[in-house]
This record gives sequence, structure tokens and C-alpha cells, in this order.
Amino acid sequence: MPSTYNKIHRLKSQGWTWPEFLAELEQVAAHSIDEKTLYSNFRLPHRKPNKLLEETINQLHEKYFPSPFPKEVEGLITLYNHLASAKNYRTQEEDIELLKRFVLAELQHESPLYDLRYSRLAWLAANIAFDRISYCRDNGLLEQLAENQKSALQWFQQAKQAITHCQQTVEIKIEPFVIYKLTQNMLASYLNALPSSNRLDNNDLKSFIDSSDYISETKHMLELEPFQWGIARNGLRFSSLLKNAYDCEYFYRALVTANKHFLDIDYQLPGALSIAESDDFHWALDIIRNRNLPVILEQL
Amino acid sequence: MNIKQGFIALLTALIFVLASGCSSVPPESLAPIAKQKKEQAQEAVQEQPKSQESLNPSPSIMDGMEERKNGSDDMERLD
Repeated sequence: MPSTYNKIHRLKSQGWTWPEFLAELEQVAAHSIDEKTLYSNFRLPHRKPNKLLEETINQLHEKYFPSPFPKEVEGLITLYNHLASAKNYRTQEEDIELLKRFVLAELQHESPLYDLRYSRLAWLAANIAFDRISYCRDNGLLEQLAENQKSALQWFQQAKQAITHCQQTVEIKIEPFVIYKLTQNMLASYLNALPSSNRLDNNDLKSFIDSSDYISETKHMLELEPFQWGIARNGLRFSSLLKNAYDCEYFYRALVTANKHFLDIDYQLPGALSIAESDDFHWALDIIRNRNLPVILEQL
Repeated sequence: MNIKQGFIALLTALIFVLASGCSSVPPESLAPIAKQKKEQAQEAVQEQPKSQESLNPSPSIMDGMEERKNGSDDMERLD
């Protein structure tokens, strides 16, 4: 899973050697993890980690990069993620609705006190609305689509404001990536509301990207964490949709820097489309092919 | 023995062979198609926990961006 890949890279980028990394894992792991497993999960974004490695890396990551949010709300996010992804869950929709009502009541109760608990609850309320966007789009539920998109954007924005406020007042360290995630989620709320045929040169996307300074923030994030292939891929996606040749080249280079496997435009991760398959990248692909970028970058 | 009697004898022998063949199959063994179906059902039962496991996101796994392969290349939210 990409997340374990990212976490391994983030932990490794602290300057650990492999023996040091293994020694750290040994301290939290229930059973020993061999170097080969760890290294292959470090090298290959498509590699699905085994349960033991995933859990151990999660623990180690939490130790060195703890979540700034209260544990009980983190628990609610986990609960919702399990609920939303469950299959054959008969009362799934009703249960999500119950959880949503609880979250909204809590937010109403807490407002206008801006703290990390409030921001994470707002994030959860946004997630619930966000997860309905693609379904409404695919089923032509235009009214509900607009409602959920509006709600997701509103709550992501509330969460962002609260966290920005907390950054100035709370002593807990909040990584810049936390704010970046919210910006990306808002952009995703615009993108997912559109069928792939309507995304090119779309005005909503364009104005949000300009007003949020998304492209320069994305470049900044990649300077901090160059292994984040997902961020580079999205940078490439939006540069393609906005037809910016310079940025297409920049983010393709960033994507290959994150992992050499992306030299192959057909490279596919489980459950994801390759760049060659996705309509969002068509414009960028012409740039990549015309300038022979995979060949140029491979020679570097 | 005329032709008719010969034919009846042959038919009787054939029925006997078939009947004895069927009775020699132990009751717990299944015909090939039924056996195949049973094996497929067993495989499905064995595979079920695996697929459920991969569908359930573990806590805070939305660290990286992921796309769903559903025609549209949608962005997944980051937690």
C-alpha cells in the first residue's frame, strides 16, 4: 500500500541506516521483520505489505510522527473508514447517517471554540460528504452532488481554519503536510464532482488552483518529501488539466524522482489507473512523449 | 439365441456393468461437476477473508493519494 511505502520513506529520511531501522522495528514489532521485506516495501510502491509490517510501521510512524489530533477523534475517523469501506454491510448508509448526525451535533456544540478536536471532527464531517460525491456524479444525482460537494468544501475549509489557528496557539507541532492534505482534499472535491470528460480546462478547478496556490504548495511539499509519488502524480494531473507544459515536465520529473517505476507510463499500482490509462493525463502525455522524457530521465 | 435375445443380453450386461460401477463409488465422493462446484465454493470461502482484509483500510492509511479504478481517475481523500 502506498501509505506504508510513504511511512517507510518518511522514517528512513530521518537518516537511519538499515540496521538502525531494523533495530527500531525490533523494539515495537511482535515478531522480527527481515531486511529483505522492509527493503522491498521501500523500493516498490506497488508492493502490498504484509499485516505485520504494516502494523509495525504504523506504530513506529506514530512514535516518531505522532498525530496532533486527540486519540478519540482519530478513533472515530478509523471507525468511519472501516464503516465506509465495508462490503455487504446491510445498514451501512443508516449507520453512516447516524455517525454524521453525531459529528454534526458535536461540531455545533463545540463551535466557535477552535481547537484540534474541532478541526478533526470537521475533517470527518467533510470526509462523509466527500465520499458521496463520486456516487452522486455516477448516478446523475445532481442536487445531492452539489449539496455534498458544498458540504465537503465547507467542512474541509473549517478544518483548515481551525488548524491554522491552532498552529499559532497550541504547542503541539503540526506538520505542513497536514494543511496540505486539506488543500488537496478540497481540490479533490472539485475534481471528483466532474466526469473525466469535463475536467480539461475546467473553470472551477482553475480558479481553485489559482486561489489556493496549489501548484507552488505542491512543489514545496515535494522538496520536503520527494518520495511522495502521489503528490507528484496529482501535480502532473492538474498541470495536464490546466495545459501547463512547463509544470507537466516538472511534475513528471518529480514523479520519476519519487520512484523510477514511473518512467514507464503504463506502470500501474493495484486499484489505480496508470498515467497512460487515465484521461486526466492525456495532455501531459503528449509533452512527455514529444520531448522523450522517459529516455532523457533514464539517462540521468 | 436369436439376434433379439442377444441384444437383450448385451443390454442387461451393460446395465449390470453401469450399476456395479455406480455402486463402487463411495457415497462421499461426488461426480466431477459437483466436485468442481464444491471446490469452487471452498476456494471462494477461503478467498473471502483475504479480499475483505484488502478492502478494509487500516487506521490512518490515507497517507498517500490513491485512485480508484472505476473508469474515472478520481482522487481519494487524505486523512
